[in-house]
Amino acid sequence: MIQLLVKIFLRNRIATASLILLFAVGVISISIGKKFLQQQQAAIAETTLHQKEHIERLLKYENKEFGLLMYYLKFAYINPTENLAGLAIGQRDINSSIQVNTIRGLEGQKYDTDIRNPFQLMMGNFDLSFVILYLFPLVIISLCYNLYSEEKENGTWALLKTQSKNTARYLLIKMAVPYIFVLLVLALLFVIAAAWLQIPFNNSFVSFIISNSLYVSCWFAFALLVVTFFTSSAVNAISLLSIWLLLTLLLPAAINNYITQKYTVPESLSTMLKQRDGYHKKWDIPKDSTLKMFFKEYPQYKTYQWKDEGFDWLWYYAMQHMGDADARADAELFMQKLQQREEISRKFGYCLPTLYTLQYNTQLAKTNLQNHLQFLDSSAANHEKLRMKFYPKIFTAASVFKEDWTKQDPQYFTIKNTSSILESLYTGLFVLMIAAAGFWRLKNLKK
Amino acid sequence: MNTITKTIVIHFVKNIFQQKIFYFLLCVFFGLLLYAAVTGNSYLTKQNTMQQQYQLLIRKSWEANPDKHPHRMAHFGSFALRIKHPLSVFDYGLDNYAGNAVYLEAHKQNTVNYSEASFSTGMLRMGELSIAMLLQIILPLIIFFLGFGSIAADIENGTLKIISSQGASNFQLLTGRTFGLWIISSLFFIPAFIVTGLLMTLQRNDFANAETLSRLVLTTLLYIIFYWVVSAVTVIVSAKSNTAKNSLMKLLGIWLMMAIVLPKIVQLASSIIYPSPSKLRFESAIEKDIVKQGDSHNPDDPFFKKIKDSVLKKYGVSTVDSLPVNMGGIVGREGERLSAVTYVKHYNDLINLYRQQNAVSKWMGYINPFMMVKHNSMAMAGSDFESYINFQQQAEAYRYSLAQRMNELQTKYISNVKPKEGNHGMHVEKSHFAAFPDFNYQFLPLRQIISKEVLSLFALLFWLIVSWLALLHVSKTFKIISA
Repeated sequence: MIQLLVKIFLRNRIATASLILLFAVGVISISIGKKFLQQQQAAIAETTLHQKEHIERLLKYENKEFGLLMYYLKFAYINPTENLAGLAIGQRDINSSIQVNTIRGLEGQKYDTDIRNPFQLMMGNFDLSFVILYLFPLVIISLCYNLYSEEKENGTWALLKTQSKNTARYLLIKMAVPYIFVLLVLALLFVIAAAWLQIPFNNSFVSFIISNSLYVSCWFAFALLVVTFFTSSAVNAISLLSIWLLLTLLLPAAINNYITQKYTVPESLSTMLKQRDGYHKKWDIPKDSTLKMFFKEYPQYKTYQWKDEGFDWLWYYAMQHMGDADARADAELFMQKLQQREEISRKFGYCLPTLYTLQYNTQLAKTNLQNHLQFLDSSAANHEKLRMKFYPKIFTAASVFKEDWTKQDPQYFTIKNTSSILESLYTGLFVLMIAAAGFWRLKNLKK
Repeated sequence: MNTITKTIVIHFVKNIFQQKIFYFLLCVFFGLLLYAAVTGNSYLTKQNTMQQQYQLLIRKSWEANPDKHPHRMAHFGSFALRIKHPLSVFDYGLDNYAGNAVYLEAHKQNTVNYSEASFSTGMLRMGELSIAMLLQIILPLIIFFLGFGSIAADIENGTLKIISSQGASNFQLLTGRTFGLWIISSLFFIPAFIVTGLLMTLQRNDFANAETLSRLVLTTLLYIIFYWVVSAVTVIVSAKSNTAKNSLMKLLGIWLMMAIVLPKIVQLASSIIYPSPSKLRFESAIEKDIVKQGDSHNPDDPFFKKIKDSVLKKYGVSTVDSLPVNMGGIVGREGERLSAVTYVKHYNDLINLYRQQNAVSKWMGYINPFMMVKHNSMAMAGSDFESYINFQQQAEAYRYSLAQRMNELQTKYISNVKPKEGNHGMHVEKSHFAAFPDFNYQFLPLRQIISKEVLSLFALLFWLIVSWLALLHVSKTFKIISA
């Protein structure tokens, strides 16, 4: 019987066409991921090269004072894009993965965005994650909505009932056929993605595969449940499409509305204003009061010489740093607010398989907000490291030529994926619950 | 409208009124509408209040400066915060992907930061629930649900023959059913506009004026035509299908392609046809051009030396110290002008590239009415690309005038000779700073919006005509007796 059902399935032109189309669209989405990765790599290569030329050029023109050179000198700090990000671009197109900052006040630099066409950002990325989240369910719905109703409407159901005692089993096998084919398409896409994007077969990728396969299974569970209500094809199609609409569009959008209006971020503006005022208004107060504050934070520079008359580099960088210090409390609140958004989103994610999979995919691909916040955090540490390295040279007016500038390549942010592979099984809970309801209904049918 | 068509319309509407599903969909839609209105209004109010509050704080901080050197004030700078258009409560457009605040300082054009999208956990990418989203995505689907059987069901159960035997022509039948479906859709969208109008009056600001009202009226008109087109599509597809089930499947397919898949594909295509430059490439191109012009901070720079010589000649003196005006101010002014001109040239190139990308999607409006309504709707709501670019341009204009005003003050009041003690001749009275006006953002006027959206507005007319012609064509070809 299985062979026969496979034959029937493959003879269905619409079914095979939609599977081929899905596969083709999946391949396109992987190619977009490839393009995205290439752009990211090109940007990193460009940045590395530019930094070298930038240093060489400045050494030629601004070599008289260490302090002046450091006023201009920009250092790149890079959040490397893992190849898995090609499958789930997430927020990487919005949040820049390259920071280029001077050692002056960081709070005035680190939130600078990339330049992007906002209309394009709004339309979103056509990555594999999108194809799996939105388009796979649609194909599954089109393959399964009339599993039973088609037989009923064509009059073959009555015939079948006389021939088979276990109609429930027949229905399950009939659904298993498209299930296997859809999983095959998905597996094929993963193989192509792994080879094309050179995704290492690590914890993250395995979790990605498991989680997304479970997500796809979830839609078969929905289809099974709806089919067991034994309504007409039209009602089935409308019911399944309504579930799709609710889970992929309406509920996530409604939750998003709630979060954005509940957690507005005025802290971003207060940080911005405090940093500007914190630094610039230091020009209007006596030097020693700024330096007193600066030495309180960095007592190791107390012994350095500074002059009260006219301009002084120690004072200048102290002012710059105190701008950051004045904004520190607000910046912390700012980051906390975003952290709150992250937490509440995660909680909502536990209730919706779509939202969960989206968030989990971008977590694995390190393209979510969390990753960007960690990157921002660590860019502050990198900034501090650079300042500690160059402050003594600026404060002692060292010669810029004594420094080995060839070693100033861009620095990279690294972070390990700490999540366990077990987390990827979470979507399985949805599958179990929905499928169980479907099986229960099927079992009752026999009686 | 003649009596036959009228009867067809009334009959169709009455028929829908008898269906339970209609009331169910109406309730769901109104629930979503209310939620979108309440959350959207809450966000807009909070966001605009916050931005206005901070713009005041920024001004206060500017005015609190003591007497000082104007060049310090040029570097102290200011910020431009973007205010959302009151109608964006209806259609968020790309507002949440656009930056909200930009730091304005001398010699440097900063990026507009803190977009809502940059604060988002990524959920934003799954969509936002606005009234416009309900009208653009959900309501067409509801119309398809209610109308898929408008002709096909009558073909199936043979009632069409009876109707036609009573003297109704095909064209009367099709336009009547289209109009009936449109009336049904109006029960959904008219309340949406009433709610939007109420939100406008609720907003405690002075933006709600004749201009906003005319935008609202135009938006309503836009959707009136859009739903006529959607109703016509429904009736035509229904007439072309031999069973109601087929008609439903076709309509669902059309909805998925038009509302979900095509917009994404178009975005993709436009970014391949017109690739965007990276930030680094954009900035280094500007840097290169500016380096070519010379460095106003470098006293030995040949270009700026030439300016100095001409100033000395003009005043008939041989040294800078004996000039009645401040040389730094004059040189700074020229430097600012040149760098701003260079920046604006590159910026315009970038914006034009973005415009080309967006035009691909606007042209798609002639194939996909969903894209047509999207572009027009957000333009009317002041949440489109041009409105955002206009904010950026106003911010840059303000930055430029601030820097140049400070250069003027320096030229006029600052001494060329630094005194041995104290700051005499080095400072400008703070009243001069307070006299410089605050940033006052003005929404892009409707007239200009219309002139920039000609392509999409024509698409609207195009669809009105095409829907009529299609109804005419189908009424000639379709046969009442089904196979």
